Amino acid sequence: MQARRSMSVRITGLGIAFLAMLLVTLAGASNENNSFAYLLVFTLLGLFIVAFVKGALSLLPVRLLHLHAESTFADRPVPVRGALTPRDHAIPGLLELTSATTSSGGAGPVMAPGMAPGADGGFELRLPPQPRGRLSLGSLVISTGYPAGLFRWSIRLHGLATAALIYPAPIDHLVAAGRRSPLQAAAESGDFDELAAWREGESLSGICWKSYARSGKRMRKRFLQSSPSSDLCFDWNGLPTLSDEQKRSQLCHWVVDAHRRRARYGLRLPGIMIELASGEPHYRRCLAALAGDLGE
Amino acid sequence: MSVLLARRFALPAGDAWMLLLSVLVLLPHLSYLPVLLAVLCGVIWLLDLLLMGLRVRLSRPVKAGLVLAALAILWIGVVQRTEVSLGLALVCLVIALKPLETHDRRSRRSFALLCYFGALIFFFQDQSDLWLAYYAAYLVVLTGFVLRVEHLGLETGPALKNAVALLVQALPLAIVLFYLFPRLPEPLWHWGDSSGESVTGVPDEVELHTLNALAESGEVAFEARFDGPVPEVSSLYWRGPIYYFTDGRVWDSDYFPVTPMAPERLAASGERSPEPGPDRGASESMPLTARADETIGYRISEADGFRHWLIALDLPVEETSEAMLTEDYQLVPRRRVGSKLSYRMTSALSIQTPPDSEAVYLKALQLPFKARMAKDARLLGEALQAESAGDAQAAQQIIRRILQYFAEGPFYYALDTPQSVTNPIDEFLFEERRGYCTHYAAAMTLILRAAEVPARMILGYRGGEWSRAKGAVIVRQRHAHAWVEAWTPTFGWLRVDPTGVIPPERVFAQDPANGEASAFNERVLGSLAGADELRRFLRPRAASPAGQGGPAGGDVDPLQPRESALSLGYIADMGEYLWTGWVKDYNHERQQHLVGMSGGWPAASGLALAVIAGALLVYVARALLRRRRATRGSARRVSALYALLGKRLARLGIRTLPQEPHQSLHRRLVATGRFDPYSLSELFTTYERLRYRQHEQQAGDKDLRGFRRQIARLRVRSDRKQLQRQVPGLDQGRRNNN
Repeated sequence: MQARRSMSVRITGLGIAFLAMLLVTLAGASNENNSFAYLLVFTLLGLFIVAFVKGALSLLPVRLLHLHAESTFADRPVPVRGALTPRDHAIPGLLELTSATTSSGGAGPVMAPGMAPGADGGFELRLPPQPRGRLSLGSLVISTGYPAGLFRWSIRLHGLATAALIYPAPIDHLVAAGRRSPLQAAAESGDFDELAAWREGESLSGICWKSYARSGKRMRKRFLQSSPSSDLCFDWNGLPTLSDEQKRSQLCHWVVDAHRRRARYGLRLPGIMIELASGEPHYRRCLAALAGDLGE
Repeated sequence: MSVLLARRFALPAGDAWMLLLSVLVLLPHLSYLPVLLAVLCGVIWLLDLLLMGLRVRLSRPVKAGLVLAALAILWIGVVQRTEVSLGLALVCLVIALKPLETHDRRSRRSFALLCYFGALIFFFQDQSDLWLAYYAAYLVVLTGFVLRVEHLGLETGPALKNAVALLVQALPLAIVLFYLFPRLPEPLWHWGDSSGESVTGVPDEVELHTLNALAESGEVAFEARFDGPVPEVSSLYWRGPIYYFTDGRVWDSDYFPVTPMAPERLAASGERSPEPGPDRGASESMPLTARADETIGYRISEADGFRHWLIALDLPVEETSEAMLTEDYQLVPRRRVGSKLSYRMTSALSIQTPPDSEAVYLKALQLPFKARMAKDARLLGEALQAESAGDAQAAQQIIRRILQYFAEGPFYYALDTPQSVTNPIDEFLFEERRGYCTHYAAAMTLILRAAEVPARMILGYRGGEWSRAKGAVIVRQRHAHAWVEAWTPTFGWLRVDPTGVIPPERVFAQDPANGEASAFNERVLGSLAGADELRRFLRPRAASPAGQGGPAGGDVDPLQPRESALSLGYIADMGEYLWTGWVKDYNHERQQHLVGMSGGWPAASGLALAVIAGALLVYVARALLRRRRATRGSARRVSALYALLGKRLARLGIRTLPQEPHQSLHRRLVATGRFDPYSLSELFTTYERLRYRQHEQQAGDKDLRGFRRQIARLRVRSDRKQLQRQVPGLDQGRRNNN
C-alpha cells in the first residue's frame, strides 16, 4: 500500500524578492524601451517560471520506497529510517523531510529539517520522544527548493504505517522512593564475596558506605551468584503504591535490567502472564506487553 | 575559475565565488563610476581577499565602521562628481561590500539577488552588444552560484551545466515576452536629468576637444532613408545643435529660450513642402527661391530622442506634427520623446535664407566676455574687417580670407591635440596650428564675429555609409563634424566648412568625416574667385537626380559599395540590420508592425500562448518520458517479483508491512525460524542487487528468472523443532493457513 499523498507549493522569500526586483527593472526597461534590459528581465522571468515547473516535475516521481521506525523507549528519540525513489536521476540534491506526528505527547512536529537523502536515497530521522504504545506517524513532508530556491514544492504523505512500538520509559520509581528493587534484593541475596571498586554508572545503593567512610574510596559489595534462585517474577500487583504508568515504567526498568544481567525472568500484568524465560525474543515480548501492544 | 582561485590562495570556495561574482558584475560598471568609488570597490575586494586568505571574519562593530567609512567616501565622491546617480553608486558599493559579511545561506541568497540587480541595471547605462554577451555569460555563472547555494555539495561543473540548461529553457518564454510584451510609445516618466547628458553623441555643451572621443566610435547615430535618389554623400551635412554663446572655451547651444520660426519666414525661405500641411497653404502662392527639385524628402530613424534638438539634413524646411523649426532652422521635437526616435523631414540642399530678426544677429556677434580670451583672434578679425572695408561683398571677402589663412597657414588636421584650458582659440590659431573640426569651426566663428560678420558654430554629422541591406544611409558617431554658418547680406546664412581647406598632406589622422577632404579642398580654393562659385561649394547643390533609388551623382562615392552579388559584407550588414532593428532597437512601432503582420493583438497573444503552451508541453512530456524510461523495464519487473514474494508470505501467514525495508523483512523472517537462513540470505541478496544496483548492471531476463525461482523455492522448513513459540503471529498464521 502506498501512502496517500498531496502536493503543494509556496513561493519563498527569495522568490518574492526576485519577482519584485524583476518588476522594478521591467518598469525601468519599459519606460526607456531598453531592449537589453528587457531581454535580461524576460530571461529571468522565464527562469522563474521554469523553476516553478521544474520543481513540480522533480518531485512528481518521488515515492517513498520504505519507511521503518525502530521500537524504542518513551524517553528516547525514535529513529526513523527510510528511502526515497527514484534515486538514479531526477531527485534534486535536496529534499527536506519533516514529520507531523498525530500524537498528543506535545512533541514538536518538526524533525530534522534540511536533511538530504543520501546518495542512495536513504535517510534517517529522529523523532522526538513519543508516548508509550504503538508508534503512530502523522505525515511525512518531502519538500524541495529545487532548482533555485524560488519556490518550495512539497509532497505530504499521509497514512504511514509502522510496526514500531514505544515502550514505557525505564524509570526506577522505587529507588526514588528509597525502596530496594527485587533485582537488587535478588542480587544481594547471595553470600557476600568481596569488595570491588565502584564504577560510574553502577547503582548507588550498592556502595559500601562504611568502607567509604573509612577509606574515602567508593567500594561496592559483590555477592556470590546463586544461579537457580535468581529467577525473577515482576508482578504488576506488587507495586500498589504506584500509578499505572509508573508501574509500567518500573516493570520496564526491571525487565531491561534483568535482560542486561541475562537473568531468567517472568512478567505478570493484568490479564497477561509471561512465563520465566530469557533471551532476545522473550525480552521483546515482555517489552511489547508493557507497551500495551499484547494485553490491550 | 573560482575553484582555481580558491585552490591557488587556499580560499573557502563559497566565499571565493562571491568575490568573483562581485568583481565580475561591477567590472563593466566601473567605467561609469567616479574614480574614487571604483578605487573604493577595489580596496574592499582586496580586503575581502586578504581576510579570506587569513580566514578571518570581521566582528560586527568593525563591519559597521567599514560600511560607514565606505558610505562617507561615497557621499564625498558623489557630491564632487554629481553625474553619477546616488542609487547606482549605492548598489555598486553594496555589491562590493556584501561578500565581506556573507557567510550563511540566507545572506548568500540576498547577495545573489543583488548581483542579478547589478547586472540588470547596467543596461540603463550602456547598451552595447559586447556587454550583453558578457552579462549573458555572467548570468550563467551567477545562476550556477544560486544552484550551489541551494544544493550544498553540488560541484562547479554540474552547477554551471544546470544553470545553462535552466536559462536555455527560459529562453522561449523570454523571446515571446520580448516581442509581445506591450512596448510603450513614449516614456511614462523621465529620470531626473536626462536632457542630453546621458546620450552619447553630439552634446549640448562643447569644448574644442569634445568631439575627439567620437572619432573612433562606430556606434550608429541614426539612419536616413531617402524618398528619391540618395544625394552625393559628401554633400550630406546633418545639422545638429547651433552654438552661439561662448566664453572662449566652452560653447553652449542652450542659452536662450527657443524662438519658433515665424510661419511667413518658413514660407519665404522658399520651401515647397511635398505634402503641405493645412496650416501652411499660403506657401503655395509665395515666391520660391529654392527649386522644387532641390527639396529632398527622407526619414530619420533610430535617432536619440532625449534631446532638445533633432538631426536634419542641412537645411530642414518643413514642420511636422512631431518636429518644429526654430528661427535659426534648428529642428526641435514638439514633445519629449522616447529613447529612439523616427521622423520624416524635408530639406533643401540649396536654399537662400530670409533675413533674420535683430536678436539672431546679436547672438551671432557675441564675443567672449573676458577681453583676454581669444584676444589675438579678435585682432585678426578686426584686421580683416579693416582690409575689406568699403567692399560691397565684405562678408564673402572676409570668409575667403579666413579660409585662405587656414589653407596656407600652415595648419594641420590632427586628432591628438593638447587640451588647452586657458585660451584655446589663440593657442590653436597662433601656436599649435593643429586641430580638428571643432578647432577650425570655433576659431573661424570667433574671427568672423570680431570682423562683425554674424557667425555661429554648428555641430552635426557629415557624410554616412550607404547600406544596401537597409536601403539607408547609416550615420555613425564617428561622422560627427563641426562647421560654421556665416551671414552675408547677399546670400543669407552660408554654410562654411573650414576643415575642408586643409590639404591632404597636412592631414595626420584620417577622419572619416573628412574623407573627401582633397576633392573638397580643390573646389574651395579653385572657386574662391566668384561669388556664385563660392556659394556652390559652401552649400553644395543637390546632386542631379540620375537613376532610381540607390546612390546617385556624378562621382562614384567610395563609401557607397557598388551593387554586387551576395557578399560577406552584405550578410554581415544584413545581420547587423536584423540585430539592430529586431532586437536592440525593437520598439513600439516595430511591435505594432509585427502585431499587425500576425493579425492584431488577439491573434498575436493567442500565438504567444500557443508557443508557451507548446514549449511547456514539450518540456513536461520530455521529463515524464525520461521518468518512465527510468522506472520502466527491469526495475518495475523486480518490484513486481518482490510483490509476488509478499503474496507468498501472506499465504504463509506472515504479513508484510507497507514501506517495510527488505532488511527488516529479512530479519523478521529469520527470527521466525521457519525458513532456511541460507536461502533467505541468498534471496534478499539477489533482490538487493537487482533492485538497488541497476547503475552497475541492468537486470537481465536471466537474473529475473533466477530471482523468480528463488522466490518459488522458498519453503517453510519442515524442522518444527526450531520453532520459537514466543514469536507472535506464527501460531495465528498457521491457523490462518489451515
